[in-house]
Amino acid sequence: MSDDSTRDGTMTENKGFEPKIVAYVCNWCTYLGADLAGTTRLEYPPNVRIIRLPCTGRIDFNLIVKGFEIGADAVLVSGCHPGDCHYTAGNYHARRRWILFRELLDTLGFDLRRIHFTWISAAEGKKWQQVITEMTEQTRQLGPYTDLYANGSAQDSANDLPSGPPTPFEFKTLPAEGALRESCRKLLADGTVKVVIGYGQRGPAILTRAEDAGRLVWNNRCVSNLTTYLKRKEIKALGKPAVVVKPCDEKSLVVLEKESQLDRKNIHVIGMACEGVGEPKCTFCTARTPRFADETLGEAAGPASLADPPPNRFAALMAMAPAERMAFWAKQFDRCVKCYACRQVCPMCYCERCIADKNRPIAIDPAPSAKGNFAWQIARAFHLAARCVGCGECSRACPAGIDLALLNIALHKAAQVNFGYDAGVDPAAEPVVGSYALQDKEDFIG
Amino acid sequence: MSKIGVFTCWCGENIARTVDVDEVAKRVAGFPGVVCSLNYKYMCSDPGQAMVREKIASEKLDGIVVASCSPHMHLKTFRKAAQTAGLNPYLVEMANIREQCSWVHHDKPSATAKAIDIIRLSVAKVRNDVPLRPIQVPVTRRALVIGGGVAGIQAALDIADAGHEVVMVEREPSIGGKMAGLSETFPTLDCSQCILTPRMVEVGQHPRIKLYSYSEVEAVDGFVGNFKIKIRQKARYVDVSKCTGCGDCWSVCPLKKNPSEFDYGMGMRPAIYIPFPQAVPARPVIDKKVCAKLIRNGCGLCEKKCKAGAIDFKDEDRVVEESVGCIVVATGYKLYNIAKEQPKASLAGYGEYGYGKYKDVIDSLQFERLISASGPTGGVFKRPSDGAIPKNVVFISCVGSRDNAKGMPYCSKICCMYTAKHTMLYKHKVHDGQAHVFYMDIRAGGKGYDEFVRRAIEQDGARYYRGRVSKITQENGKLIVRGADTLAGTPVEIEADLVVLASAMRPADGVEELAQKLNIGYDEFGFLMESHPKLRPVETNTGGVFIAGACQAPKDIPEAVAQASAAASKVQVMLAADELTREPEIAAINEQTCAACYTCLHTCPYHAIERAEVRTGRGVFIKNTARVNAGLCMGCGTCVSVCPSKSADLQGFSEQQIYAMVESLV
Amino acid sequence: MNIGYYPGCALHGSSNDYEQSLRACLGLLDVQLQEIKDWICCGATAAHSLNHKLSLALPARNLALAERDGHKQLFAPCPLCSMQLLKVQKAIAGNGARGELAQIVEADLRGDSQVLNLIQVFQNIGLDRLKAAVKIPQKEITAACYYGCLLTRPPDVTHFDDFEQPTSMEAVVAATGAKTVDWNYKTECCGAGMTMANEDTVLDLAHKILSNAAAHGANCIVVACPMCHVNLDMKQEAVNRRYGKKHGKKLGMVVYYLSDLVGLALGISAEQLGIDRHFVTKA
Repeated sequence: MSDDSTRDGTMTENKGFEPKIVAYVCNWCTYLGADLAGTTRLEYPPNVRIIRLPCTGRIDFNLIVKGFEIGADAVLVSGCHPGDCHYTAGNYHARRRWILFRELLDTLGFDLRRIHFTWISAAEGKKWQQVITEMTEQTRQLGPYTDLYANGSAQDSANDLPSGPPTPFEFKTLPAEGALRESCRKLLADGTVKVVIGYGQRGPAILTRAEDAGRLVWNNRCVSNLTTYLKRKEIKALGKPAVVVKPCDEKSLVVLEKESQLDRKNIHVIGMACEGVGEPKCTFCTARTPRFADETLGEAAGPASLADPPPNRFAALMAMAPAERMAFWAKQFDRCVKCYACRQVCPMCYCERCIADKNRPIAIDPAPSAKGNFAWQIARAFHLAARCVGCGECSRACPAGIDLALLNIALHKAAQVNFGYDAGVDPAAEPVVGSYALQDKEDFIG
Repeated sequence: MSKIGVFTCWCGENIARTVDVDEVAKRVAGFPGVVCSLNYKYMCSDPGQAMVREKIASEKLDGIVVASCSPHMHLKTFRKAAQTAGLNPYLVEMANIREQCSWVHHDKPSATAKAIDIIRLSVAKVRNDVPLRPIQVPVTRRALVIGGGVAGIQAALDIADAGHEVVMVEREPSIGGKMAGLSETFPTLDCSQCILTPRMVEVGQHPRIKLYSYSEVEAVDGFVGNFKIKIRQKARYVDVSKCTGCGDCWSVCPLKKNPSEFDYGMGMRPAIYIPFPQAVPARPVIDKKVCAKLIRNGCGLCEKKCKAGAIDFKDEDRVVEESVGCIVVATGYKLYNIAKEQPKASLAGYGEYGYGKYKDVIDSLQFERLISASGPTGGVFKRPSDGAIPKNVVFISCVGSRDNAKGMPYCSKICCMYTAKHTMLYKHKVHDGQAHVFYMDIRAGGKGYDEFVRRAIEQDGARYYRGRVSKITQENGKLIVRGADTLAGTPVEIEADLVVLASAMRPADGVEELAQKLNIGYDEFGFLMESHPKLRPVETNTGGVFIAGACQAPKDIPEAVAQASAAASKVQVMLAADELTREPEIAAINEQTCAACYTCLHTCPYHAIERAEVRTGRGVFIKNTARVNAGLCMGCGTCVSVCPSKSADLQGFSEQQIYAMVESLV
Repeated sequence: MNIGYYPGCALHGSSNDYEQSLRACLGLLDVQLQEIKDWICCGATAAHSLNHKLSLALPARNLALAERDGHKQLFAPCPLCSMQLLKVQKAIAGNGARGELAQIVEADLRGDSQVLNLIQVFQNIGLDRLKAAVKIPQKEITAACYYGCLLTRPPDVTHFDDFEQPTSMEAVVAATGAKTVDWNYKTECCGAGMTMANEDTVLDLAHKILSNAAAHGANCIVVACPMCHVNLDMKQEAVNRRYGKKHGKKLGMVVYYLSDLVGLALGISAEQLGIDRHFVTKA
């Protein structure tokens, strides 16, 4: 394999290679453990630079990426053992986010052998010594992290993912269209709502007058997730809205309500029974009828999944070696122009000031470089961890045709596997980020 | 822009041996913003500190880095020095080049290089430090004590005697708790009521103690220094302000046959009653479950008889609010009811011991009442079934305790001692009687404790069998106790007249709900959690809330009292000033950019984040936001990590600082 | 209703009166006992002290035979037998003993048949149905239900209603119109295993059981175990010889099988049930 030979080459070339290691440690356990190593004079390699933080709970995982950006060859995150947190639960919250973040980095092809998690208590000076010694030695063996962002350049040779033949598309108007127009006309006429967000001939139709109801359509081109318009200031200003949702879109409402972003009582939800609109995302969708709508129009039965599903792109991605995955993404992101369409279209991206626009500090390089693009996509995907409902609008909206939803799928799977959590399905479920369980897995923590 | 001074310490030879301090000082002088870089033999010594102070003044430094030992060692020292020199103490950073550099590396060039990097990190941080002021939280100089047992009484009196007002809430009609019902106490056998009731009276008459008896804590709001407590005063149907406690009402009450809670069902009380003669307050309550007037508008004799006109059948629950600065929780314990029927299947009782089936199988607190001079039998020791004087009494210890099958693996700690005491008290009352004790181990650690147990065995002739009882059956009016003596290796069968079970101690009912109101922790058994088992034994994880007595773990009277005094002294420290000073390194939220998703609110281990609204000066609603309660925030920064827009930030460890540090390592 | 029937050694030997009683009583309730062919000794309480594997293999073979014959339910009237069978089922359900045992007994071993004791057979018939079928309510009977040691133990094998203070037999007895007493020796050992080895112990234990039942007002004892029956019935004379003086009178406790009592209530004669073959036949 090509990356292996490169690594071998680097190793021989870098006999005197001394890795740079950044360690993010908590103030109360690991930092004191490192102090203890000092007071007991336990020698270890001088490659580590310690950044002291109050608690592992404070460690934002963008910092791991930042560590690599500034040239670290390995990163360590270490804090108090479970049950020992100075702040009672910071390490539990951190552990839960680590579980998710690791999956994301893996999907992007980061070399997980360079990212270490440990619990080191204030009494474990010896363990600190061992961890740093072993980590340094292992990183020496691995050599400098040249694979990062595929060495900063997009290689044409990078793999691509299989995509099936284009699905034959046959436009059809669906029977509930008339009922939808009638219902919206009534809602506007009797003042139940002030604005209707529905599908029009070309894109969304935002209606405020009953006589415009005829402009609404309901056909198999009604792909987009209209709930994203609910977050728009200008639409909020119009008054109580009615929004047309498919059973898949409806999940966004559940998440948004959970995050206090909408008052469900002040929204009229028109649910459309749906048999799929022929998108890739419909392949695995089994929802047919909205569950929480104020009214449901049409009927849907049909098969739970398409007879001939397109190839599973996510499985193909994960079948690659990590370095290949990173090359794949580097090639994809090379086309990114930082237009932020992925952000604008996402119903879950509602921050008034996006972290990408924050300039003190600049957590995400705004330049459309490999570094900046990776940083942005990591932040975007991780902010959607266990929140993304899988509407796939990000992939659809990307003008460069990057299949961004793959990252969300990775995190969605991680939340499902580790926490049995499906965003937007159960309104009563506790959100994954913001809670923790004592039995959360920690097989990757040393 | 910045004027930063870096002071590199040799720590004698400790640093200088492996780190070339001159080289360090020279290289660091070239860092951006550094205007002065010095090294010195002992930076923490008086001359060293004087040098720092002098440079701050002469160079007009706006930030300093002391490159020496761990911040856990001397950060406070140098912050104080900086403050003396007029520099905000939060503009001081340490670079740990001793514990994390010179002491762990031998190679001088690489150790020196690392030291320079470590200082680089600290310089990057100090450049982004902002002056902070310690947070002053106003303190309501009053304390709440929940529970009026011996621990609560001790805490309340200590705090009140120190000059602070105390609000005491007790859910029973009288204070006194479990101790008021005990006969005599080990290891001195002094009469429990004789030593406790004067303390109870003191509470009742103390000018600075406000007693809410027959009341419960309904809700707790606020934070350290500023708690708002809602207290539910249960309807007593007696106007305490009018009542003189003369007793006419309870002597006239015709419904006299109600099992007395205070006597654990061993005695009876009227429908209008005081739990025991020395009750504080000595004011009766009406049991609304049995009073004929309250049930069906009958009787009413007490109302007619009361000359003070204190009976009020229209009385209702009242909720009052009190403001306090600190809270002491002293809710005590109860005995595990070993009857077969239990609320939880895991607690299903010792059916085979026949508690609840045979009248003469009783628990230890019931025994205390039977043997007590003021008990329902007036000091004559009679058994419940037929009033006969029991000649053979079997005591069984560890009933439910140290029992994994019952889910209570812990030792209840006091049973060994009180069982020995019971055998003595019994022998002193019934001279020709014989006490038998089945035990697992005798745990008599404590001053005079083991001697006490030996006395029970040697002087008062209690027979001790090391072994468990398998079954108790009844035959011909006798309780047949079958057990094993594992030391002799024989089965034992005793025809007993009375069996006393030393049941496990469990936390009082409702303590978990109370803990949730107070946001303090409790373990799997419901015992309240101390902040640190060794060093913070009376603190909880919520600032301003302390615990005392058996609500924390099984303990005896001296321990409960000691812990109560400890909690009281912690309270006094907090109430000593009008304001509490707290470290300013806490979180803050940029309310302009906060998207109000409240992930931080769910995450915060201290419930220090609240929902709030941003409004214009005229009160027009603009937006929702999260807001940090500075009184509750402990500065862990977990909110910052989960905030998607990084509207939350942690002062002293800000995003800007941390990124600057990482980027300095390029 | 046909159910598989594993008589075990006792019911074809010393306790054939029990089998007589069962067939008469259950036959009237339309339960036909189909004896599994080729059954062997279950190992009872002896095998497990010699060889653990043997103690599982013996009952495993009987279980396999029942499965071979297609019995979904297997009735073992002797609690020693039923406990042994349940023990095998637990062993093949829990760990990987299934394969090895199947190899030893040279038969498939699914472990899916349900092992029943006598009380469960009556429960399956239904106590309401039983009550309806009663012709002669046994009003004169005040029974001390005696479960003995192995019907309810070991608890994690037998899963009895309550291994210390069971009440399921009382419910069956009550259905016959008889009264029951709450007494102390329901689940104590009767000493049957010591019959040959240590008669003193046996007589002491049997005496305690009999006299305690009498002291609580019972006029008979009801059992569901051939060993208990032998011990309490046959040894009663010896007990009386030794302890009669203490009481000033002889104990005269009829010891019924549970099926005897139900049979009497159903109108079956004492002779048909084999009660006349007991040692103590009258109070």
